Amino acid sequence: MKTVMRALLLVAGVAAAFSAAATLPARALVEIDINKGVVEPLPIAITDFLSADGTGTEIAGVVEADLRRSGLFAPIEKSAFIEKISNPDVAPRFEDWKVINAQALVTGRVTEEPDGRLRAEYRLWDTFAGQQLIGEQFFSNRSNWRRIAHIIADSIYERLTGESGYFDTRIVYVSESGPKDSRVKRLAIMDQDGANHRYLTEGHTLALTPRFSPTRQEITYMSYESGHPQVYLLQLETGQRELIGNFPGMSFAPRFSPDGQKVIMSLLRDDGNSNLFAMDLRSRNTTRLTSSNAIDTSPSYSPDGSRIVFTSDRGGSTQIYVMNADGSDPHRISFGPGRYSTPVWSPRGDLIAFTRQTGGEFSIGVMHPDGTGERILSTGFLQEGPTWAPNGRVIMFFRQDAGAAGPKLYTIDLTGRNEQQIPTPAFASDPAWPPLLE
Amino acid sequence: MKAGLTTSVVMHAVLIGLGLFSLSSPHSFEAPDVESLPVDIVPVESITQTQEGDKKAPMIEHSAPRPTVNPKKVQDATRVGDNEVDLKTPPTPEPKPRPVEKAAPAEPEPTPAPEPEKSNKPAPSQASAEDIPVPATEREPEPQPKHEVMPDPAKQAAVAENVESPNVKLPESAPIPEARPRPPQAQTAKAPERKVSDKPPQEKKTAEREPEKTDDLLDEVAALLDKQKSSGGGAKRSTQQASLGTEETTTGEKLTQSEMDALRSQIQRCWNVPVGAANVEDLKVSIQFHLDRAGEVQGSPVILSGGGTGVQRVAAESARRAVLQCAPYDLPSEKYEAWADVIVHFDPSEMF
Repeated sequence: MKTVMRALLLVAGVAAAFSAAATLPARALVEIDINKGVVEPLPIAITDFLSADGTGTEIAGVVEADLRRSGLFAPIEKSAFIEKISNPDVAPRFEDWKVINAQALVTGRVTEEPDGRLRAEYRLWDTFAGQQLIGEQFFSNRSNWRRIAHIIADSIYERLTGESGYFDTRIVYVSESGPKDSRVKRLAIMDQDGANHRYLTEGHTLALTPRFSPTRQEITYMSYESGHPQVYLLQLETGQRELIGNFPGMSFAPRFSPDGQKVIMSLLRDDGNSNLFAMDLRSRNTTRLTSSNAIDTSPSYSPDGSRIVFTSDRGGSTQIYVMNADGSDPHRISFGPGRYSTPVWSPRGDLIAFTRQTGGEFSIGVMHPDGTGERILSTGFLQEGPTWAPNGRVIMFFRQDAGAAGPKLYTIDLTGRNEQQIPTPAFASDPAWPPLLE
Repeated sequence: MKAGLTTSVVMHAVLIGLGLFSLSSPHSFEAPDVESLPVDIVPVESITQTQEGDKKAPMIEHSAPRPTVNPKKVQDATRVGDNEVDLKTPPTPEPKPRPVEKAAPAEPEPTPAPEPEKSNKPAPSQASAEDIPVPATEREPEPQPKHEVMPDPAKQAAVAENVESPNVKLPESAPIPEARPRPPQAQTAKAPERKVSDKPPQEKKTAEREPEKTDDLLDEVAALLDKQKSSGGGAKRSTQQASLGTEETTTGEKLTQSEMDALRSQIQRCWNVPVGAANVEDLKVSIQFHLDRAGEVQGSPVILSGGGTGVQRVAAESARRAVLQCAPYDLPSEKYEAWADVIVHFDPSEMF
């Protein structure tokens, strides 16, 4: 028994010694917190897609232009590339791309299928991690090659920023031409990069405030055709137009609801009051939403359809109000200096864009739906009419510089960076993006 | 009585065991991170102070590193050139036509230069495996085997022959470099040192090929050199029995505040924050990575928290890209143990 005791004690003693030695930390661990970084466009290398007839180069060019215009990417000049991609299916030499500081790489190929369709495939690589992030292929008609390029740009944008892309969208706007005292205003539609431009109306009468439907290929707008302003519906594919309701008085500032079933607009009756009305497109029933003695106009639904933001001067000056979709509980949310107008709810639901006028200056800004966090993005001589890109990240508006003959379209990022002008054949105003992704 | 003692011992052992393996040390006091002035605050504590020695040796009173052993002398290589038989005297280089001389070394030089480098590397490691006991400390003399093996012009001449153009007549055998450089004075003999000291002998060889250098000059130069065989040259010589310890003396140092700030700013400038995210919480990422002595990231960084899909995945990837892109990091190499493993918490909520 004594030997057992001794053995036990010895084992315990040795175990204690070992554990004492084992708890000696071999290496210390450094923990640091990093609370700020840089905000820079991501350097990306987009190689020309391999193709027999140069379509690949064109597609890569459209992808590069889209990503550059978004302001979040900085495509690297092709002359700086070291490696020449001859086979987009094999892994590239990542060292060559890391040396030119490309953090992402796009390679691809475009081939023609036996049935005449185009097959476009591409891969997105992470150079520092040394792996492929996306590999996709698309089949389409040759005439749709621009759409393929925009879809590829959308995928790359979404994978690298986490937000959905907006490149495969179209913009409808009012094209202005002619001298200032006899302007011709007609509706036009184009891709968001300015391509595929065509006119929707002839221009004999004024056409204003076009708005996209979220679900169908149709546009609602205001026109003076019948002598006084009325709201019309235009089918994009067929070109067919119809008058929405035959209201006495004037109707203007139409907008679709998020489900595409209703159009909300402002009606001006003979008593001089303009109030908001919502009309169901199928049943043609109208519901009155506001009944104030002031001017209520410029309504916009929230993306879930539960609330409406609009402009009203019931408080004495033009300000922004939010109410429920049935018209109850209107309350003011803008309290800054100046006059607020043209509110638009972001498709993400977190912000409302507006136009503010103080002194002689116009500004485009955003605020939270409760009125807090007001931020001005851009200020100019004459600018208004913000509209959100479907990903809720970019705002487009129109601005006329002092002394200029007409306005032009501009986009700006939500953070206030990267203001870009959109090319249009003539002067342009009142742009509209589709409220949700098509 | 015996039963009581047994039970007591067993219960004590159980308690101690539980205590050792389940109780953790208390949390260290987190000092708030502030932008600091360049004032060095060196902590006095030395928690992980260890002595230098041998891990397997028993503990003895005073610290002693592993005893050094003088390496065995390796015979000089005497077979030079194309000879099959050892020569008693080194061959003398033939005088060569001058104009060709200028052009020739330009080409073959670069190629033999890297070749012997490569041949040097496997050779010394072989030599060291056989002759020299693995040094316990990195300050052991590493040039020691290099000197023996490097003057091996047999390989060099063979390479020179291969790249010889048909017009140029190169010497049939390369001269033995008479210059035997002294063991380098620096005590820390790391791998880069080896490369650096390889180069001067190469250049000496090209110099010696020129026929202008007369034999007199060579003799003078040779006379200047210390013909002694290099001794151990190590900094630490110890003839005592090694005691318990680790490879190196560590004094349990932590990084000072300014060094942590230096590391923070090095990573910060590469961190491209994905702005415009609807929810700032999604952008928080914690990432752990391991650094080697040169400050390069070894292996791939591990995401500890954060990541997922959508914006979270993008945030995790931008954090990982920041860590990989800003390597190598410039940190004090003597405190390597303190910064070998790094955890970084990225949190951009203050930016919005």
